[in-house]
Amino acid sequence: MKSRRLLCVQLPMWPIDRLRRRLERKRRDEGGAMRSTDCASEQAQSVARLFLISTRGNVQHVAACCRASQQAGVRAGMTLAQGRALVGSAVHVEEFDPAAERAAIKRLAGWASLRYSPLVSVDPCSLHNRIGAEELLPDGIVLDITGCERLFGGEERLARHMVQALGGAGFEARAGIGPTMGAAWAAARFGTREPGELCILSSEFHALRRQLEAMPVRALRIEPSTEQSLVELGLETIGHVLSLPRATLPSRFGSLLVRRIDQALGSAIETFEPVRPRPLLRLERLFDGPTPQQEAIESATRELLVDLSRELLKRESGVRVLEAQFERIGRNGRGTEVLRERLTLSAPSRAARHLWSLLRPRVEKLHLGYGIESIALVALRLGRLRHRQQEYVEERHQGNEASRHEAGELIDTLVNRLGPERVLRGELVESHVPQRAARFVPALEGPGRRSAPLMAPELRPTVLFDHPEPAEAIAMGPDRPPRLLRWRGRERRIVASFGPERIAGEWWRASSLSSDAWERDYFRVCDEGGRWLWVYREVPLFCVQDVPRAAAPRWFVHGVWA
Amino acid sequence: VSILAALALRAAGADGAAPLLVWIGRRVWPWPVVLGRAVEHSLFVDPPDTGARLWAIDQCLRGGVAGGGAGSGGLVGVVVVADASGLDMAGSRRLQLAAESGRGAIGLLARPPRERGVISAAESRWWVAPQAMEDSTRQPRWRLELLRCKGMPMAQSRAWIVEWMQGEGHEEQTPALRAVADVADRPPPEAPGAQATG
Repeated sequence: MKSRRLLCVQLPMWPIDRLRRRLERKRRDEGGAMRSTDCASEQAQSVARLFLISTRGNVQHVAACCRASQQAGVRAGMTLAQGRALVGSAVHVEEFDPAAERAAIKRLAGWASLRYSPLVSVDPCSLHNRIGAEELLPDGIVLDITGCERLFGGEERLARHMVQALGGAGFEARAGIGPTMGAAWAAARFGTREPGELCILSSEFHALRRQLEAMPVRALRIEPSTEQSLVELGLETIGHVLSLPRATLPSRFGSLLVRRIDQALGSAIETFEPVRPRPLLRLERLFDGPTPQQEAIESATRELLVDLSRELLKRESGVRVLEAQFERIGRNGRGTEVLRERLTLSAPSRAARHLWSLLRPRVEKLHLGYGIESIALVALRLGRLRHRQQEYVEERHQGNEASRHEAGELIDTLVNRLGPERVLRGELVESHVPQRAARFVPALEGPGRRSAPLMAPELRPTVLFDHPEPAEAIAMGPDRPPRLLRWRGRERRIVASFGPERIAGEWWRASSLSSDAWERDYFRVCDEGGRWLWVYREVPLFCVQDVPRAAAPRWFVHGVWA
Repeated sequence: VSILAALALRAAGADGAAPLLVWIGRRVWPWPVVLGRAVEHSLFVDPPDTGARLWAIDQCLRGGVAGGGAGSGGLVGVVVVADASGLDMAGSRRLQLAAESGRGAIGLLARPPRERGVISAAESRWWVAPQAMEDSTRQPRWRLELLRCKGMPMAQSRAWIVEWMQGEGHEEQTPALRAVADVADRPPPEAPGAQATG
């Protein structure tokens, strides 16, 4: 029997490469508008050092960093401050998100499973890639390429193809091929020196054993603690370990070591669970030649939407992001171009009627040119949507969920015309600083987190100004409420006032002293016309006895009971 | 102006299930902190121009189903609070019709004082003005004057004074109004398409 062949691809700089790609894409998007203006700063940015950090307790640790900083001595696990000090130049820092990395590598496996081999898995064993204290992160993928190499003209060419494709996309990759997962794993990591290299191990037992013997014990995928105790005993390569009597190994170093040896050499079976990406839901309708009639396009799109909702029903899901693609005959009458209209929904939906109401204005505005050849609907993102006879719910059955569902439709309608940044939802934040206590977030981002618990009911104005407005005031004493207030060009006599209530800034957040370190005395005041204002006086900071206070305290109006 | 809206709103929200609150136009956005729990089902819309604003009000009153196919269930409880400056008679009639065609949507439209003379098709119109301080009060007060209400003789005009109730001494976290004086014993308008002028 021909033995299995496995390809292991390691991506040593995966999170950093992803970050770099993100930054580059962002720059490209922005660069379209101002290409020539700051080339210099772009170049400066492209050489900037990249850090990903994770926060434990309140210390920020470097989780990953770019090659250049590695050469400067930065290592994962250092504090951010240490890392900055070592690098000494501009550093781009972003938060490290293990869940996103894991999802991304799974997507990569999905890509490979369509392109190279049907059996692909995220590398199940990457004990050495510890980020932080206990986070284990996959840093590579495994492909069972048995039989697949013929399509590429040999396994070496297959692997090179893949490594080059990854390199072209900006990912550093190393590959190893072997008859077992353990061997391929070791080959990718310890058989190669430079990124982009490939190491192939033989399927023949003795040759394989010879090749593995030269590798360090770490290549056996063992626990770091086991590795350490082996190295302390002077057992540095796999060859050293293999020369020991096998029976003594489990009691001294744990059973994992023996199992790993067997797995690498092929005498123990190791399995993996292949990733099966779900193909995108795509529905297409081809016309019998270019069709310039608006009505035909519209009715075809509607039919497609109905089909789509039927498909979605089977999958028990709804669409979150839908792209409609219209293939149009090119301007010169030759070739085609694709017009794309993308809908983003606030909640998954599969109601054809609702989707059509969102899509219709876009379709109406479409420039049909010489005619449309085909229409395709692609569901780019799906969300789970349980079965419900939502189209026909009787009003009396409409529970909370149904009304939330319809609220979603309303949001979509509004967003579709006004744009996502104009339809917002409020969020309460646990902060006693007025301007931080609430903020607006785009409603599209979903209900998300629950609002923070409310503060004690205190008297707060119904309208808060984004920026406090300066006012002139006359007060009877330094700590007294104002008697006369000039604000927005009018002089107001204050007939009543309540307070003060002292609110201090969150100085612990302050990046620069001026922004957050302040104290204010708030008063609720009422003028003779019955208008209530929320005014405050800035309290001079650091008022030590010796230092004379600022001559005139500054007053501001921060909100009104409108 | 917006305070009144906040209040009327609360009155509408009191009856059981939380309705969706839609605030259209930055000028009527309240500070979310005063809304308390109601923030979770509030939506803040900032339309770029008058046309879009009227369109948004219309959509919300209709119950949010664009293109409104027959048999589509409207939103159960929507309360729309909107900045309706620049609204003429035709526009207001359109909105009134929208409110009637939807199911149970309540529209509260605020208009600037200078538009007091502009007629509208609303169910009722109110004039809101701050009420001067009296000795006994510790809370903001307003005077609400019913300018016009369908089915009410024109000449007869009634007024209430309402007081803001939140914070000090009041247990509830959501704001409420208390009618303090004059003829009144009920909180402000709840008729569909009610229109507050202020």
